[in-house]
Amino acid sequence: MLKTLRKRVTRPIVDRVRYEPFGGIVSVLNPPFLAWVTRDYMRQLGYTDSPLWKGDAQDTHTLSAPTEAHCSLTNRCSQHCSSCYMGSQDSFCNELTTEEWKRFFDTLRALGVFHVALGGGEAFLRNDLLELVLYCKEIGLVPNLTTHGQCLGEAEIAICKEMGQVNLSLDGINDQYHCNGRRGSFVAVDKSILALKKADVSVGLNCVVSKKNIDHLTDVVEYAKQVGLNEVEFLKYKPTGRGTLNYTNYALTQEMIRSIYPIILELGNHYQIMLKMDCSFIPAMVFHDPDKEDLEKLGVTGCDGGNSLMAITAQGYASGCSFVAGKEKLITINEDWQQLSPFRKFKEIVENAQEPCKTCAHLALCRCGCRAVALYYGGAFSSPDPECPRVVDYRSKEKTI
Amino acid sequence: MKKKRIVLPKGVIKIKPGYNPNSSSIGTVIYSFPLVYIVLSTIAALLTALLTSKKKNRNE
Ligand code: SF4
Ligand code: SF4
Repeated sequence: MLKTLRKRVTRPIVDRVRYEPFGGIVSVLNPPFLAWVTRDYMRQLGYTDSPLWKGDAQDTHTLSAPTEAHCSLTNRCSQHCSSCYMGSQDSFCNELTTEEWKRFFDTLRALGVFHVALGGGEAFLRNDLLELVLYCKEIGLVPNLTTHGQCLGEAEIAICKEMGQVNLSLDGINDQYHCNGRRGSFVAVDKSILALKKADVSVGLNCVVSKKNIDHLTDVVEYAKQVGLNEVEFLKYKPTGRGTLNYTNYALTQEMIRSIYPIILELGNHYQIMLKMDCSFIPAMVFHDPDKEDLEKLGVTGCDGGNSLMAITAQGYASGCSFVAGKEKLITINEDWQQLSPFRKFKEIVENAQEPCKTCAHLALCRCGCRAVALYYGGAFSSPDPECPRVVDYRSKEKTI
Repeated sequence: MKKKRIVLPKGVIKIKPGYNPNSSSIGTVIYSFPLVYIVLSTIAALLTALLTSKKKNRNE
């Protein structure tokens, strides 16, 4: 990212702008960023007032449409990793066709979505991947991709060149590669990364953090720094798909959850590489009371499914997030999308919050923690994330009273 | 090194740098210093330049 910025022009070219009740979102591609701006800033940019600006401008969280959509293009994957969060293996018999995906992308574009994150299964197992990627670009959606990166040949690298960024799954280096039950090899991923870098593709890593690799995160960051990657995103190991099997063998302990934010912050400070934590880690982050204003300025979001995020499965089931299965086929979604039940239940998390979330100073940002975790433990949709340190402390205090 | 507060130009509420290729959840940038500070300050400067160039164009 910094390298891109150094090369950068002094005046950015705006790719798209979307009106929002608070003002708007400005999308720039080079360098890539989204900026939430006020009504006044929009006016100064030359935009006329929008009907969306009739009401209050205070709420800068609720959006008119997601900024990104996560698309599982197929359930098929050759790797069959033992803890795959999607439980991917074979294609579903009724996966969306090329034309159906294109219709869905049209809908996203009409809503004002900026980016799509393509994944699977393994998206490269779809023969029409290039066609879908080019279609996204043609209609103004930025395609990004997650791949296991086990077998990227020339054709795959050429497709990657069309992406905004490509992230490869990597939970550990060398022998640690398999720590979370991942199949394949580090050597193959390393080879793919070098080929992608050579082709000037923007590359990052997705690293799932579990009990098995929390002590080895330095190696992953050091590797990313060494080979010149854009970023490393740390994802919490979650109990969905095959991840529910032997969850306790992999799930971070409370002590680990409490220590993960300082560990990652320290790695970022030391190695000077962009590091991200995924939304399910927000309770672990806010436990350390980082500066709220800084978090807001960086657009830190907790469980934001159904607001900035929408997910769709290979069969066309829509949901607020890929970790929470949707049961309704919603290929064509209209402007009232947030009222549809798979999204509404995410929207209502805050108003239905229970203690200790209800009175937690971080509720607006965290939104009760990860729904995938709460649901796994049998909670209601808006119940507190039982792995949040504040929730653990609250419950143990309640027990002793 | 002491971490500096993030300063955004007037009218900019928040900035999300980069893309999120992870197709399962939303990533949040960790405010490590000084890299993220430099990235954000550079983007902030670009956003200021954007307004300045608009104003200039209108005056021309
Ligand atoms: S359920 Fe919420 S916190 Fe968990 S991964 Fe999905 S959006 Fe993120
Ligand atoms: S108590 Fe609830 S709202 Fe507060 S940090 Fe924990 S999960 Fe998030």
